[in-house]
Amino acid sequence: MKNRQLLDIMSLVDDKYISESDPQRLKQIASSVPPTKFKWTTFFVAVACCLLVLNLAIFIPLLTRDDPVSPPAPSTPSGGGGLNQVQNPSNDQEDTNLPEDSGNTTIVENAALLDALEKLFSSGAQLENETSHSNGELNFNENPDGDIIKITETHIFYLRGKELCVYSVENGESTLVSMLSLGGYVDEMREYVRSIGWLDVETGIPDNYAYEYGWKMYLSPDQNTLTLIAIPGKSPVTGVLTLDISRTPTVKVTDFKMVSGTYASSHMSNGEVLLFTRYQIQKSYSKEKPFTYMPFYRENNKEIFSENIYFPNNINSSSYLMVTKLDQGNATVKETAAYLSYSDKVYVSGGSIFLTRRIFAGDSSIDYLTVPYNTEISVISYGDGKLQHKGTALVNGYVNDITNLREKDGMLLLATTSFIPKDGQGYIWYETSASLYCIDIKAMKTVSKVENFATAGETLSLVRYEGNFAYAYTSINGILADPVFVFDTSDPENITCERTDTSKGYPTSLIDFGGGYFISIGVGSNSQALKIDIYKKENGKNVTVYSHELKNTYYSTDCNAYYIDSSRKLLGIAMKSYELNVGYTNKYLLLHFDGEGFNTLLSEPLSFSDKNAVRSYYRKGYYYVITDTGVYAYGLEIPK
Amino acid sequence: MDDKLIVEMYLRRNEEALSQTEQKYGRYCHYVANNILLSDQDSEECVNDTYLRAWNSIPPTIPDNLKAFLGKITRNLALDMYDKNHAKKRNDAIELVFDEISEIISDTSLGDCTMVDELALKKALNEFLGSLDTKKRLIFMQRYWYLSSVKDIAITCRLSENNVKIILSRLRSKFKKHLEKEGIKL
Repeated sequence: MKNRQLLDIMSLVDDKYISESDPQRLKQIASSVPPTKFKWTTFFVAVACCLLVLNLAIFIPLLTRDDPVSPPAPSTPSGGGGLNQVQNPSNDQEDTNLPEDSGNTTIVENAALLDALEKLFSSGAQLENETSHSNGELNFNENPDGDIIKITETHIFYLRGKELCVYSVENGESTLVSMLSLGGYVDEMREYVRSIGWLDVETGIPDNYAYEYGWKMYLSPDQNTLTLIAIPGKSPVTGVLTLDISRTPTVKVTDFKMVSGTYASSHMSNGEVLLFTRYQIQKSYSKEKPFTYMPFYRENNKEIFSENIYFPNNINSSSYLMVTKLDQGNATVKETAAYLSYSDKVYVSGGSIFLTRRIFAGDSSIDYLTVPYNTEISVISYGDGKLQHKGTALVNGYVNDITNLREKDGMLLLATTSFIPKDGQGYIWYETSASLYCIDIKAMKTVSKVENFATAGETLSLVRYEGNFAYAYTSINGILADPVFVFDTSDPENITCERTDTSKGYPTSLIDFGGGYFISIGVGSNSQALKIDIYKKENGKNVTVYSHELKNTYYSTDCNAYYIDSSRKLLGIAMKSYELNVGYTNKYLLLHFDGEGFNTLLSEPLSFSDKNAVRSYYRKGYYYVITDTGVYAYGLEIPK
Repeated sequence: MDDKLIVEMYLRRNEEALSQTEQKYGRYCHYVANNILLSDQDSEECVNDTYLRAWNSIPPTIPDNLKAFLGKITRNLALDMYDKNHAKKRNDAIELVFDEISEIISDTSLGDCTMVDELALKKALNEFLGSLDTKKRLIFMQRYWYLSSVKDIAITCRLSENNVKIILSRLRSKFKKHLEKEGIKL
């Protein structure tokens, strides 16, 4: 019986059990009941009293009682420590991936790393692995240069599901000239994983599947090479495919590599692609099988292990963040490094890579309802040659999304959901709030902060950075709360925070529209309303120039799906509108901003099944919209 | 507003029923959908579809328990949407639930060709749930009906994650034995 049918069996449950077990109702009940730890304290106090009485009875000296401990703050942001480094010996080991019974296995000696891993797994400590707090959705907004579409002078390269489609385009006419099926490469990854006997780290069963979540592409500066990265949903390897497109429509596969770990992020600059993957050590790792505990990439049927492996003294995760630096032109791997424990978030900007990890900040003997964390940030420079670890900083709270980080002029702005300690009559418990930190990247030192600015019990939901301002939205139980917090970060050592009036909705994208204007695209008065605002900075304040809301409208929150032309002041967006009794309609809107409002240049029904996969561009009098159903061209005169 | 009054509005084709439904159960339906789809936008589409379905099915249906009625619609719609999108985007948490629930398949199952008496299955399922103490029933329902994560269940029930996993494993085993005892093979 198929799994979905098994799950459907549960729909036969009586209504009373459904209502009874509503998790939101149960959470409210749980949070209104005092924590149970108090019972243990009562028990120990009772035992102590009995002992006291017993001592009095037989003239034994009285026991003394400790003074109450004042609640410690969950963080002391004095900066983190250095990292231990292990350099891999030459990767010219033979037969590192042979099965156990081959009789010819070579052991890679990494005594310091193996020693650290043995201590980690034998300690029985709760590990903070990426799977335990993943937000479950990849955010493509981090790398606008990596996308599902690349456009040259004459061709469009578009990733549609498991295929790369190549269209030739001229004067409004488009023709599909070539198609490359990519499914075979995912099959190859699956086969490889099966062949090495990889086990799922949570269930311990063979993990030999690699579902395609999607692919993304990078185009080389000379436009002769495409680098495609396979992003399977949960696979122990990520694929990198290199294509020669210098003789399009002929597209030639020149290289395919597998890199250990699930895809975390990627970034392109100066003809190099930085690929970030999260690699988790197998619970049953063995030093005879180094691929079970060391990240690697696969080339010429051999595992090449990460050149350098770094780990902190207090390892608290069995996941690495692996960095693979590839030359885009010839697909060679120029450098690799892996950071054990830093498997939370990765953010790249300004020649630096920022890695984070969560560190449990409470007492391990206490079962907290709200578990407190600190976040440690490590910075790695990559701009000039080798990857180099530069320093570490520590802040209160956790980062829930990489959009919470922003590098600007040598400073790192970082917003977290933070934790306020509370005295629980003999033990400490925590409430959530939100904080903003400004860290000097060179010194990795916090230069200013606004801590716990949200009402206790709220969590940080969204942060948007624009120019010298940051906008923080908080929520309680997943529902956005008012107000919006606006931070002026123009003086990094003196960040100010202002609570604004109740704001309906929130932006999912804030984009510079040129000429001092900014566009905000986001959710309006309710979650089914698309709101578009244009505002301008006047006397340090945002002045709304234009605001419009489209009700019952769904749109993509991937900013790659918008067409923004700041010089022509164009905004293009695909949407799905809903009307009762009619249902859903797909359409495309192209708007032109004339300084006061938007004029509609195009409002057309559009065929697409995935609004996140719509892309568009304007060239030589034609506006092209590319969707997963084809290329659509519209002859257009753009007003000047 | 009382559920009976809201249902009354549906019966009288008063569109105010929809906004009352959204006000009272919008968050609940969104929670059910989001656990499966992990996307606010997809969940909102699902919830909107729920309102449309509710509008189209009341009457002739007159639900006794409006919350459960809406929850079931949302859950089914979300699972359908997940099936449709799942080649592109997988929810690892759901896949784990699938793996867990597949343990209930009888060793002598006929696989895809098995036919099951739905009434008998419904009776057996609800008898099983009724036989559990409240806490265990809540854990089972949160996991296999609401598709909540083990971590969320642990927080709600004030247990460790390990404890929850053990309880779930034992409940699955107990459920399988109960079905076998009732002569039901999945």
